[in-house]
Amino acid sequence: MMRLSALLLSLMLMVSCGQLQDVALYDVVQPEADVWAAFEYADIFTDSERTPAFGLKEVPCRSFRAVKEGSHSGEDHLHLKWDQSEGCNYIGMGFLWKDYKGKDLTGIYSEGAIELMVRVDSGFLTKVPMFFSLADYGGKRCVTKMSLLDMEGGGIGTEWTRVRIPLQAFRPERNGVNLANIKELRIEFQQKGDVHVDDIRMVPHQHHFGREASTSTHRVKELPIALGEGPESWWGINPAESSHFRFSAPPDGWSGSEAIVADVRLEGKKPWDSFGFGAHQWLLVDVNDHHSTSAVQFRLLSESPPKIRMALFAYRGSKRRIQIKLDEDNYHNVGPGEWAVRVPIKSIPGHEHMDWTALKEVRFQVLEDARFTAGDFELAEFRGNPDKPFKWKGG
Amino acid sequence: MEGRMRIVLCFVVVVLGPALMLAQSEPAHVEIVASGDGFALERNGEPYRILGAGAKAHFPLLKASGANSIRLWSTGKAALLDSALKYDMTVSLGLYVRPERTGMDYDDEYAVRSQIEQLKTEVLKYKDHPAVLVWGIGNEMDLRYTNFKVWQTIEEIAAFIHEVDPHHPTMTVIAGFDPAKSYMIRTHCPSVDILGVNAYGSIENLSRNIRRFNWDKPYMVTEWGVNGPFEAPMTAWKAKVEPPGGVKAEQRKRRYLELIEADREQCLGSYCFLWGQKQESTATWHGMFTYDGRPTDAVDAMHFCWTGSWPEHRAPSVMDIRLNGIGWRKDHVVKAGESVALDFDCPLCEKQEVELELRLFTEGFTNKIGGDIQERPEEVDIEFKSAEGKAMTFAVPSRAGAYRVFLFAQNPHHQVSVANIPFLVE
Repeated sequence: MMRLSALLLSLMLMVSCGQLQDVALYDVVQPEADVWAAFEYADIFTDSERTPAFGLKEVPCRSFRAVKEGSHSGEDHLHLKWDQSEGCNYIGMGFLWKDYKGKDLTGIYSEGAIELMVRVDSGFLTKVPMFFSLADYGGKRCVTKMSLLDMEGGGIGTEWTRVRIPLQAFRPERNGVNLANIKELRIEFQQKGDVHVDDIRMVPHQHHFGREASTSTHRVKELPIALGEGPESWWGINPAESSHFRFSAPPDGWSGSEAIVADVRLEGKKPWDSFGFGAHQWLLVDVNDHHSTSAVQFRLLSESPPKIRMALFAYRGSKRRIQIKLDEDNYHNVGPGEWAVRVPIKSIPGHEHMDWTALKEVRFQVLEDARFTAGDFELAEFRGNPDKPFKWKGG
Repeated sequence: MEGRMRIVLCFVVVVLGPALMLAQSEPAHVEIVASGDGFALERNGEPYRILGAGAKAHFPLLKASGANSIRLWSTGKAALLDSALKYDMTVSLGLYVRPERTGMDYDDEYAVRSQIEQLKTEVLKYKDHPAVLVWGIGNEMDLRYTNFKVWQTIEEIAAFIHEVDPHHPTMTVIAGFDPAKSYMIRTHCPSVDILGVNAYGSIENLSRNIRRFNWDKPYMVTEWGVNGPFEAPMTAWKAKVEPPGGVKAEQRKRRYLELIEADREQCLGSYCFLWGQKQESTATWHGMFTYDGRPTDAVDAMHFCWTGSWPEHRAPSVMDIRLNGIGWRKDHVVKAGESVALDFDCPLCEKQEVELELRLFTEGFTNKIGGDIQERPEEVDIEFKSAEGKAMTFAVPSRAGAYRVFLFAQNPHHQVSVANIPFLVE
């Protein structure tokens, strides 16, 4: 009976799916509104009469002219020559683009581009120091330049070459440019150049590039986390350079892939030696949700607690290094010659000024002659008194 | 007979002409070879230690001072490849990889791909130039960066170079060295052959840190010189304190001989900064020439470093400068319009005729970093009161503010030493 019910239900579902498909087939599908047909601002420059430009001058640093000979279409085109070395900080020109009417580009943003025809009198260019900027009526602007990726034929030669600048390349969101109220298109010029430009217009364009997700940050969701896994994350441990530190296999019962054996004999002027490791593969480690309730802890084999200073580094922020000299409260004797070491983050002076979204490195300075083995480094939960690291029984 | 001659001439032009051109434009083969416990560079089979400078001009003097190579930061000045060739020098040719701090977004696929494809065309354009020594892919992209994807771009360009150019090693150039950068480049850029490090104050520990931070390939010091403005002590009003020219020249000499030349295992050579002039906090901080092209005592120091001897004519070398008897390391606060006395020490001035010039500028406060362009401060008229020997008295401006007075000591060979003191007018 159960099996029969299931069969009937399956049949009903199949019929239902088929019916849904049929409806889709027979319904009249309305095409999306053609944003391009409705877009009345496509022409930016066709010739200097119908689509005026400003900044066409022959002055020091630039000769920007409308010329008739050799135009791509229309009555004339722009011949732009400039040389910034003649003493100009700014060289620019622009287009009135429908008499400065506020233009709404939001509908065409994802599938639109500025297209222009470009040629040179001689040679072949793969880049031109021209920067295109869209300015809104709030005074904000976004800038981009021509890319080799959208130059027909892979560069600009003596024949008219179609160049496109995808609207998405302007990245208007970065500067808060209001695409619904664009005032003008400007071109700014740097260094030196000599190009002919014609037929600047907005066109449909498939842009095949997007934004990748950031991979530079390792976000810590919960504690504990191991610190400095893998010998490639460590520095200061190079037997060819110093015999003070070397790797060893971790002692029984310790986790991690390696332990550090220190045999430090300080000589000369230098009062310390040091080693360190990236918190996690030298990425920005985001412990912002945990830093105030956490501690760096590790295990140590040594006859007595060595004199050590621990420093934490951040990639950014006004305070990029905080440090603390470990004292007897940081060490807890857990067996003959074996110590647990715990350093609450809140016990480190300046911890409140660190950018905990960008933790970079953990570093240890050995401040006097010492022999020890250290390992099992981790950032663990700690909610006790920062001055009494081993009084807290949680974790 | 006349017809035969014409045929022979045509043969010479058609067959030998291109062959001659080819010989001129043939790339030099450069490779890294194992040497003892380390590495060395060979160019066309000969050992090649880089005695270099960041330079865009003054090539005859550079050559005469014993240098053999220049560094260019981008292909924008690629015409200098020919200049270098003319003076039998090589070029570490930079490919400008846009740093994140200039607005480049390494998560933006279009921007990243555009840059890579553009730089590939630059590689193809210049790879066969006979002056090219190594490729310098990027400069200080690591300065204040937090998007490590830039290393993927560096790797892709380096791998492309190895694919199309078998003659030149690849290098990427960073701003100072630390373990994180070492890890990133080792992990993400296996096609990078040489690490270039721009090191000013940090050059003191560079050789040791190269080993401590696990860099096991060769390196070169791609910018070095005196401590930069970003490392300098500041006055109470945040003006950077610049040592006198003679002190800086001594520091250059010591660093070259004791630090760069001392590491022949992994260090392939260096490019001193800057064989030219630029505004970086002051007009004289890094530049080894004045704004109007006069060589300073730093040029003599490099001559000594590269050749082992001093040039025939030594520039003056100001070792100390004082305002009202107080040295350049201290703060100087004066009253508006007050007359102040400036004097200086210059042992090398005793042996030659020296012309002195004082110039006064407003303080050029800036928060620009790296190679970012800085504007030159405004020059202010200086009101002399008296001059006797090496002591001069002048009236400070009557308008309150931060100023800097420059002393130029020049010999008849137009060699010069410059020292300055910042002061505050209350």
